[in-house]
Amino acid sequence: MEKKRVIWRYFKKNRLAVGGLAMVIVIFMIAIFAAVLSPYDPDKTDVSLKLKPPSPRNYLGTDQLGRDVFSRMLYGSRISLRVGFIAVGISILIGILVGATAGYYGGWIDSVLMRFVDTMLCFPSFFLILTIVALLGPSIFNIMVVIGITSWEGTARFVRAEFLSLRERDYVQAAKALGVKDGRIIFRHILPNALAPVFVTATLGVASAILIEASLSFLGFGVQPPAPSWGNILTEGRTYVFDAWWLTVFPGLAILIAVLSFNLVGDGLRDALDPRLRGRR
Amino acid sequence: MKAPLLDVRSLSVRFLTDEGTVQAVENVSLEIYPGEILGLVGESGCGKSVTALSILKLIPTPPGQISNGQVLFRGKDLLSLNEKEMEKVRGNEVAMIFQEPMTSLNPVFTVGQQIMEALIFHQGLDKREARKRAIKMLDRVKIPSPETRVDAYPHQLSGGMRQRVMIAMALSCQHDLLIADEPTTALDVTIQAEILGLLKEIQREMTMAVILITHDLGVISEIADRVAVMYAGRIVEYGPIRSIFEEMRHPYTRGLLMSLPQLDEKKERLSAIPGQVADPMALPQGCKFHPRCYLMIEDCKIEEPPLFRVNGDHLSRCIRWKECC
Amino acid sequence: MSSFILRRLGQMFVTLVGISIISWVVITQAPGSPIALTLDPKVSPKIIEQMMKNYDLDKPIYQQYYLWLKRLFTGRLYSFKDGRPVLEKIRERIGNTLLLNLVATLIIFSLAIPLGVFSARRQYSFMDHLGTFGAYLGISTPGFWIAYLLILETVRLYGYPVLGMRSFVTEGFTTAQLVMDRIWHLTLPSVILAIQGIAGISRYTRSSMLEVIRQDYIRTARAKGLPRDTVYYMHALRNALLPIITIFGFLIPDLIGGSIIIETVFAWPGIGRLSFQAVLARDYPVVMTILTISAVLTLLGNFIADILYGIADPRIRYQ
Repeated sequence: MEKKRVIWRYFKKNRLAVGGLAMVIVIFMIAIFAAVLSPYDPDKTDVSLKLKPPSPRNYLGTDQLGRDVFSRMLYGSRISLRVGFIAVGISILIGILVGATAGYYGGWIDSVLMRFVDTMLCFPSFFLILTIVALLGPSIFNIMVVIGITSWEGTARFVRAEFLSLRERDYVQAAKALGVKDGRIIFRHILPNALAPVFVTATLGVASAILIEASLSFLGFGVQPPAPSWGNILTEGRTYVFDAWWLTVFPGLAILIAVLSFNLVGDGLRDALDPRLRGRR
Repeated sequence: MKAPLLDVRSLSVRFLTDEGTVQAVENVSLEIYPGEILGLVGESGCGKSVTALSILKLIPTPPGQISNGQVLFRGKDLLSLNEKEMEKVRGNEVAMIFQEPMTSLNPVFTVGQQIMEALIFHQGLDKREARKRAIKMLDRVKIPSPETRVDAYPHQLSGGMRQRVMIAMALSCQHDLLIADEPTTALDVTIQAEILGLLKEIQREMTMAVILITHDLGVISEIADRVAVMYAGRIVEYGPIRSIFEEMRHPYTRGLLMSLPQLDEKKERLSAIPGQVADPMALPQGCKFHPRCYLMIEDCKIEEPPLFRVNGDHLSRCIRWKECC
Repeated sequence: MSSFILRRLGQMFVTLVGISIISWVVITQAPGSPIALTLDPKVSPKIIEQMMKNYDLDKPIYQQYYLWLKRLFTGRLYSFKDGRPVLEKIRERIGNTLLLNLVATLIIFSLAIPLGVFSARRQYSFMDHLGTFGAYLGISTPGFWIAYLLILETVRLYGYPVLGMRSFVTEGFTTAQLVMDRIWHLTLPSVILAIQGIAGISRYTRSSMLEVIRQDYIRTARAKGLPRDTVYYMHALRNALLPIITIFGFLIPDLIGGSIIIETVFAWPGIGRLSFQAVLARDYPVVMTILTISAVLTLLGNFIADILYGIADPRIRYQ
C-alpha cells in the first residue's frame, strides 16, 4: 500500500499525466452518460437536415443522413472505450499467461515461448490485424479479439522479466519449500507484485487499440455503420470532405484527444514506476 | 606552522528529499597540509563521501545543497567558484578517485583515451605527447606492457588493474591534492595491499597531499599521518595518528578499533558496537552517538558536545573524554 | 564476436521457419479462407473443385504448406486478381515503399535523437514537458486524418498535385525538375509516416540518457574537470546511443503497417497499397507473401541491428 502512495505522488507531479488522467475521466463520464447528454437520438435520420454545419441546434453539425453528429460522437465514445478495454483485457490475459509461465519455469519452456514471442513481433501488427479482420468479417467482436491476440507481446515480456527476478525472492523459496503448488505460488504470491508494468502496457494499449480501430474504419474494416464510431463517422464523411469539414475535423479531434490522454497517463505511470529515473525534484 | 593546503570550515551539506530533509554533513572542519595523508574514517552513511564530493562540488544540486561552510584551497574558497572555474580545479589541481573501479571507467573508450583526455584538456598536450605520457603513467602504476594495455578497454582489465588505471588517470596532471574515496574497498585483500603500497609510494615521490576515505581503521593505521573520525555527519575525533591510536578519546573510535579482528589476540567473540548506525533522518537529541555509548550519562542526551581539545592537535567530541578509553 | 553472430543466425533460422508457418496458418486456416469456402454448402461443387486444384486443398495439410513454400521461393505463386506472379508484382513496388520508408527513417532519427537528448538534459523543465507533449501528440494523431487535412491545405495553398509519386504532366521536365517533383511528392507522406516514429525513439533516447547520466563513469569524467558539454555529448551520449541501435530493427514492422494507410491516402504505388488492395480483393497469395516478406525483413533488420550493436559496443567486440 505504501508503494502505491509513493507512485501516486510521483504521478501527481507530472502535470501532463494528470491532465491526461482528467481527460480520460471526462471521456468515461461521456460514455456512461451519453444517453443523458445527447440532445438527439444518434440513429435518427432526417434527410431534410442533411449536411448542416455546426449550429446552436446541432453543435457539431449533421451528417449525410441528417443525423446529429454531436450525439453520434457521444455514443461513439462507448465504442472506442469498449474496443480499447476489451482488446487490452484479452491481450493482458494472454500476456500474463505467457510471461508468467516463461518467467517462472525458465529453461526450455522459456526459450520456446520467447522464440514464439520474437516470431510474433516480426509481423507488422496492423497488416496482420487488417488481414484477419477482413477474413473474419468486421464485427466489433472480431475487431476486439483480433487486436487482443496480436498485442500481448509487450505485456508478456514485462511480466516475464518481473517473474524472473521475483522467483528468486525468499518468500517464494519458502513457499516452494513448504510444498505450495506452483499455480498458487504464481497467482497469489508473485503475480500481485509483478503487475506494476502491466498497468503501463494496458494504458498504452488502450490508446493503441482506439487508434487501430480508427485506422481499420478508415480502410472500411472497422465497426460498421449505423453503429456510431468515431472512425466510421470520419470515413463516411470522407466523400463530403470539401463541403462538410465538420465530419472530418471533429471525429479526428476526438480520436486524437482520447488517444493522447491514454498515452500521457501510460507514460506518466511508466515514469512514476521507474525508480531509476527519479530524484531530481 | 605551515598553512594548510585545504581548509574545510564548518561545512554543512543537506539533501532535500520527498521524505524530508537529510542533514548528511554537519559543521565539519578539517585541514590537510601539503604532502601529508589525512584519513577520513567512519562507517557507511556517516557522510565521509559526501564531504569529499562537496570539496569538488560534485554533489548533484537539486536534491543536495551545501547549506553552510567554506572550502579554502590555497586560500581560494572553492564553494564560491562558478562551474567553469571549478572545471579548472577538478582533475587539474585536485584529483579524485572512486570506490568502484568496475563502473567508474567509461566502457566505450579505451583506457588510454580516458587518461589522455585530461592531459589534452588541462595541459594542452597534443595526441602523440599525451599518449606517451599515458603510457608512462600506466608504467608508473605498475601495469605490465603498458604500450599494448593503453589501447585496452576497461572490461578487458581486472579490478585491481582498473583501479591502477584510475590512479594513473588521477595523477596524470600532477596535482597537489588527491581525494581517494574508498579506493580499495571493492578489491581483494591482497590487491588492496598492493594498491595501498602504490599510493603511498607515489604520494611520497610527488609529495602529494591525500585525503584517504575508508571505513577500515586498519588501512588508516598503515599509511595515514592524521585521522578524522566521522559519525552521523560529524567529526567526533580528530588528530595525529599516533596520538589517536595510543590514546583514543572518543568511545566511537574505541569501538571501531575494538571491532577489528586481531590475529595475535585470542578472543571468544568480535566485539561489535552495540545498537545500529544512526539514521540520518532521525538523529537523536544531544550527542549523536549516545544511544550506543558505554560512557553515556544524562548530559549526553541534552546538548551536542563541541570539540574538546585533548592536547595539541588532538580533538574529541565527547564530554567524558578525560575518562575515555 | 563470431560465436555471437553464429548464435544469432541460428536463432534467426528458427524464427524464419516460425514466421512462414504462422503466415500460412493464419491465412489458410482462418474462417473466410479458401478452405472454409469449400465447406460452405452454398458454393457450387464445380467451383469447389477448381479451388481444390488451385490451392492443392486435396492434399494433406503439411503438404499444402510445403507446396506453398516451394511456390513462394520459385516465384510460382500467382495473384488471384490478375494471374501475374506475386513476386513480380511485389518487385515492381517494393522500391517505392523502401524509398518512402528510408526517407521517413532518416527524418525520425535526425529529429528524435536530438529531441531526446535535449529533453534529458533539462529533465522536468518546461522544455522537457513540451518535448514530451509534442512527441505524444505525434504518436496519437491518426495518420490518415492529419494526412487528409494536410493534403487539403496544401492543395488549397499551392494548387499543386500532391498524390502519387509524380505529377501527371512530366514530359519536358528537366532532370532537376524531375528530382524536385519527386522530392515534393515525397515530403508529405514521409513526414507523416515519420511523425509516428519520432515519439517512440525520442522517449527511448531520453530515458537512455537519463540512465547513463547516473552512472559512475560520468561522475569520474566530471571529477576530471571535463566541461559539462564534453561529459554530456561525448561520454554520456556515446553510451546512451548503444541500446537505440537495437530498437532500430523494430521500427520496420511499424513503418510497414503505417505504410498501408499512408500509401493508400497518397496513392503511392508501393507494397502498402498493394497489400490493402489485395486484402480487398481477397487475393490470398499476395497477402501471404507480403506478410511473410515483411516479417522476414523485420527479422533481417533486427539481425543487422544486433550485429551493428556488437560492433559498436567494445564489450562485445572484444570478448
